[in-house]
Amino acid sequence: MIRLLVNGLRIHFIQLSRSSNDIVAMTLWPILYATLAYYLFGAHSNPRVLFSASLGATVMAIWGSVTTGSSGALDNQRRYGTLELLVAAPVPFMAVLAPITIATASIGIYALATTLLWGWLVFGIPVHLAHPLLFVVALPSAVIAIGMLGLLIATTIVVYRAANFLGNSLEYPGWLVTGLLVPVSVLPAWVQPISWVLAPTWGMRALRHAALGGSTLPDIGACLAVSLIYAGLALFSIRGLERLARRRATLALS
Amino acid sequence: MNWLRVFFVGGLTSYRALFAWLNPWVFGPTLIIYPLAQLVFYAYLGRAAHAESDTYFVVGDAFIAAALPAVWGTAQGVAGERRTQTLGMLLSSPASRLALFLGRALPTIVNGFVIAVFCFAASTVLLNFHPSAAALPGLSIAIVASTFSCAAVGLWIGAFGLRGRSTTALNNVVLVAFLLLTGANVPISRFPGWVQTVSSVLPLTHGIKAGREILAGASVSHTTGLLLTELAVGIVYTTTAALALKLLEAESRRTASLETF
Amino acid sequence: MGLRRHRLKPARTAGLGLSALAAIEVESLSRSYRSGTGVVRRRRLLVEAVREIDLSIREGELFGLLGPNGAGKTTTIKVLTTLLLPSSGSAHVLGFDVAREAREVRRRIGYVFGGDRGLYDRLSAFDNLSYFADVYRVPLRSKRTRIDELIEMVGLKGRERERVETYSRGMRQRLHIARGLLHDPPVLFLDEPTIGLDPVGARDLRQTIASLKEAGKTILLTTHYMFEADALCDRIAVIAGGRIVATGTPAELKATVADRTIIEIDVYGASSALIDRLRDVDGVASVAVEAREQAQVILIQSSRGPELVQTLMRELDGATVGRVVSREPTLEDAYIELVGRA
Repeated sequence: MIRLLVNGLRIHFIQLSRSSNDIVAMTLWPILYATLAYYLFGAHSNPRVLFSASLGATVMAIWGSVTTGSSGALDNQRRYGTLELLVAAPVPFMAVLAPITIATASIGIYALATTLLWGWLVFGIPVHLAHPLLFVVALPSAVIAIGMLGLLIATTIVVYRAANFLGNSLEYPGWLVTGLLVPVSVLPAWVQPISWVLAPTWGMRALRHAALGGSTLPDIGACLAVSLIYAGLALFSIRGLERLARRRATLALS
Repeated sequence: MNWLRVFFVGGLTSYRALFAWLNPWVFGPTLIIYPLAQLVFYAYLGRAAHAESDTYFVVGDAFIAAALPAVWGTAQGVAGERRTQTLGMLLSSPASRLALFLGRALPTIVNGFVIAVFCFAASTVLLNFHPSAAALPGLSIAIVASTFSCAAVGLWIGAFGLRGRSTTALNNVVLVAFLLLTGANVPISRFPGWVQTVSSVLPLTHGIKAGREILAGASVSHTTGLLLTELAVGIVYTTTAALALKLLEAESRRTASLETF
Repeated sequence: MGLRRHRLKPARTAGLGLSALAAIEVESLSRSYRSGTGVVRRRRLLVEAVREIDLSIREGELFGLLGPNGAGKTTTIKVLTTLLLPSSGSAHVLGFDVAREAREVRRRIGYVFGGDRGLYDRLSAFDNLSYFADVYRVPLRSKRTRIDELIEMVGLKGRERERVETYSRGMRQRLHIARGLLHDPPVLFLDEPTIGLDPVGARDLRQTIASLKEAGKTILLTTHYMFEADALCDRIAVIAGGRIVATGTPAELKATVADRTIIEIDVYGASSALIDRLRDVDGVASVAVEAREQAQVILIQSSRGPELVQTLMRELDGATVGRVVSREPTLEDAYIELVGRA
């Protein structure tokens, strides 16, 4: 099983890395967000604020990739013709789908490299990590947590007709509510509890604290906690999904 | 009159085909949720950065929301004509060409207008946006002008797509340029000089500026300069795109690349 | 990778020297779909794709499932590969219930379908096989050797590191088969595997299928190429309208029309009235018309011999007639007859 998760992640990561659409999304858009943030927050701003904005841009790109990639995950596999083969496999479907959604988050590594490079080259923002080792742990934790949320999205959104479009609509609201560029304090008070259950919130905090200083471990812990919660919920949706596919045959597998 | 027919029938048919969105599940998210979410996001970003007022972002992003369907719609229209192989025929006479383009553009302009109105209306509730009634006519003109010039950009994308290349990357670049360089979300004055020059030749830049001035109380006559510039930008893009299409058609006849036309 | 346990039931029909144990047992299987039509007023229709079919396929048998499009072949395969649940009735593969013991069934079956989908284009053949090996739980120890073996077996050696998007259709199909064999399943389901292949590729694939049978695998093959079914299969079931209309060896099926003579007549511009007249001729069992370019070919099955031709020619007087051939029936004719009856 571990082999399937690790190797599956590697395979789907490569598959995505070779897709020009996804690479464009992971390079062009983070540049936009970072540049926007830089000019909006002003050239005289604290370099810490700007570096934080670069990280925010990265997580924004990850979220965008996960919402589109996951809402379309089953659809994509159906197009490749592989969905049937994966469902007919003697492993739990979650073990097959989780690597796919986590892979959509893991290509965020390109976004990270792009924003840091862009920030450094064009705006002179130095790359300096307060807790480098914790950062190295925080990044995969964030990726896995957001990827697991993607798994939940993938398995629940599929019951809706235009799942793809619904998935795209999660992009901006997700960025807002999880405080990636806009601090949650600026938003109405009722938004706060919502942000606590969303993975990008904790992923962002973990990365920010690891990079700029602050207690990172609780945030990493939160990432793992929400991942488990999403996994549990996903089990329910997968059961529903299988019922739709096998019993009522309303979910096309090919 | 043939060109009238091309204008109305051709335009409406392709529009209907493109937006075969009787399905509210597609219509809702794409035309309602997404533009509004974008607008709200940038407004709050502005608040967090203590950058500009809500009105600033409402105008900027509502215009973009209105403009995007115009861009995609015209681009798809060109691709559609190529599929039915009527493109070469339609490019034969200037009247046909103009009718073709306007026919494609008009439904998207109307569509864009509706989206903009919706965004403004929602913003009065969600954000600190209170337009005066007097500003509305001028604002409408600004929207129409901007949507028109964005439709012209769609023509260019369509032409590019005829070369068989995937237009996804170009679509992305256009959207990024709109969000960043037209003054929709970032005051152009903050950019270096050469970037400002680029902004001035993009669609939306002058239209958005006019829209903001009108909302701030300027009369339409005051902003005529900006509105005319916006229209001019659109006309330049249209004519150059039509020329490009003509050249592509000639080339396809020379090199027998029937695929293109 | 051997099988630990293996519950088999005795086959219901006597053997042709094959094992008497049933690898695939289908009893009264039905599967229906609820579908809606229309946008404004949605009407719910119940479509019975498969109606109470019975099949019994022995271990080591190469069994063919023949039928026109929409007959229920694909639905049957999907039930047997656990992708669909039966609406009623039961199906067992190697003794395991497809509905309740799906995971056990999945470990022991391979599913291969025709066409060029089912692979990750941007990855190499090797990566594809590596991935599916994990998905199908091939033990780590044997994974590498298994992949190499299969690449060699399907003739892709030397090109396994190239991306699948560079492959021809035939190569993709071969890779697809390799994928289906990764976990060495004793039972294989092949859904129209030679579709879209060039003749050479298709022939090679058939040879591969035959050799898999020699190796002792149980194979259920769907196809609509008659000669393929005739050449490869030990037994065939003809399915039409969701029901099995006949089961037997190719020879047995041909025997249903063995007493028939087939008369083929090329006609130019035959009217439907003319066709009806032919049907009414004494001794004519069935009339089928195929349209070909300029002419139509009328296929007449008759219990009478070639002397019928004269009677037929009299009926056709006035129409422009080309070639007239009188021949022995083939499996295709049996098929047309059986399907036509359904």
